[in-house]
Amino acid sequence: MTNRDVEISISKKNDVSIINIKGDVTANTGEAIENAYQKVSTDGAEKILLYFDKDGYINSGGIAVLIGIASESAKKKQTIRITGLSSHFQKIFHMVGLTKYTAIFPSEESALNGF
Amino acid sequence: MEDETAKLFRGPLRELERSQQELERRIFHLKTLYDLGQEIGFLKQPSEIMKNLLMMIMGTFGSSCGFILLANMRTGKIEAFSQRSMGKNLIDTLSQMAESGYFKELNRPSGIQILHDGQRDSGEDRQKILDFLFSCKMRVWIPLSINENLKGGIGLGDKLAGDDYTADDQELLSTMAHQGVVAIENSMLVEQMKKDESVRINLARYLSPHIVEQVIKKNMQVNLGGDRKVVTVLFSDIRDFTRISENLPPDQLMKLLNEYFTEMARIIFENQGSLDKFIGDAIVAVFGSLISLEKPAPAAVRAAIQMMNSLSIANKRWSAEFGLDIQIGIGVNTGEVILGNIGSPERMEFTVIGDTVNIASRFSGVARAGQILVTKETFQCLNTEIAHRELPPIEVKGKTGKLEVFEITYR
Repeated sequence: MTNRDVEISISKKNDVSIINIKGDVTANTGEAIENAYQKVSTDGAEKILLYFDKDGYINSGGIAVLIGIASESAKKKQTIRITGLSSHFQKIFHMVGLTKYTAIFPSEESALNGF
Repeated sequence: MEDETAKLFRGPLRELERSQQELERRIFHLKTLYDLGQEIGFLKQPSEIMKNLLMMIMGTFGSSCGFILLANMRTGKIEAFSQRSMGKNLIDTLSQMAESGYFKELNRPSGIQILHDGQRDSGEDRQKILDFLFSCKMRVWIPLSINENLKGGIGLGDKLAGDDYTADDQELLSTMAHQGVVAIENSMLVEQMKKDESVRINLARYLSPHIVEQVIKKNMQVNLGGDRKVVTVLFSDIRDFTRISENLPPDQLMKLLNEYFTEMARIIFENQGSLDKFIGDAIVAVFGSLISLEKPAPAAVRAAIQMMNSLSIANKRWSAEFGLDIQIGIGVNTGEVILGNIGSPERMEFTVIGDTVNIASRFSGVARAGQILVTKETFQCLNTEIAHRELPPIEVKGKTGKLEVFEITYR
């Protein structure tokens, strides 16, 4: 899946669906992430890992997309974890309250551990 | 000793951490303002701008849900709407509220409003919408005003972080909303310019550039579809065209005809007529169709006289250049026609159809070179002092009885 500045791929490790997000997450590119989330949800995913690119940029529009996903996953009783974020965006996610719905991990390994 | 040192630094460290958080927050907000320009500045449709504006605002404040709408205060219709994580029936309720004119009241005290439970307002309509917004979990309302008619706002739900919308937040919200309004205004302006250009291109086929500009500038009503209307039709035909076409080489014939049609079209346009079509060497002009005219018949007859007079001047030039001249006969009739775009989807033409056109054509056919023949219906609309003479009535195919004929004697 490619949507201008963002490239999305989906993989699976055990029972965890991993959405790999490379590039900038914005209001304009957010639809690709929403589509990927809808796809893994339709496939019955209960555990989802959003794996961001450390060099990628996430603006407020992109955060709104993630809020939507977090809110929907809570209703569907899915668990979402996040990894790959730079320390700056970890702080931003905390600031906007996303960490109330998702947990942020420093690496893929630590995110998958005990998921 | 270590405990004492830790105690000593605990306060300043906490303060430093708070300052750092505040700094991060402000940097994030500054970046957001820059990003907002990128996200909404280059979009063409107001609906896309509104969608991205809502997303940028919700992401900045971590709002759990929200919506944005613009309603036409005159028609009471919602023109654009976008929502995130709101109930499915929201748009229906908002549409009803817009139709009832509630949003006019809501935006009366301009500025951002923090919504809270048990909020009381003196206005009944305002109270209803405030209650509704609160029941939809909206906690803040940011009014938007594009112009006198197009107004609306942005409703935001609770922050995920759980804190309230602060005075600082309201300041940033206000700035972002303002940026959104400017982007929507610009996009509407571009849309209007495109629409004007499309109108200009379409109308230029039938009307003079001057009238086209008037239509656009004054936003005049142009009748484009499937209407019945009383108009005056002018039908003009070249007499003895076969002689002309046989005596001139093709390039010279084209030059002569183009000069002739250009001059005739100019006169028709000058008299506020529209050029319906050229049929071979014939010209069909309509007065009072695209642009409503108070008196279409006198305008058509005035055009017919000017066409004849202009032709006699041009003929002197053409006689010298081409060795021949052009003579025309004109028929004018007034009556009801059906006007509209007729044709296939690939090729549509604005035209008029009906008996009125056929009779004008028949009168033109009967007219000798240099004659202007008008029907009784046209003649009755003219100034009684106009020079004329009554001719013997003529028969017209499809009409029972003969039709009265009046010749306009302009010479």
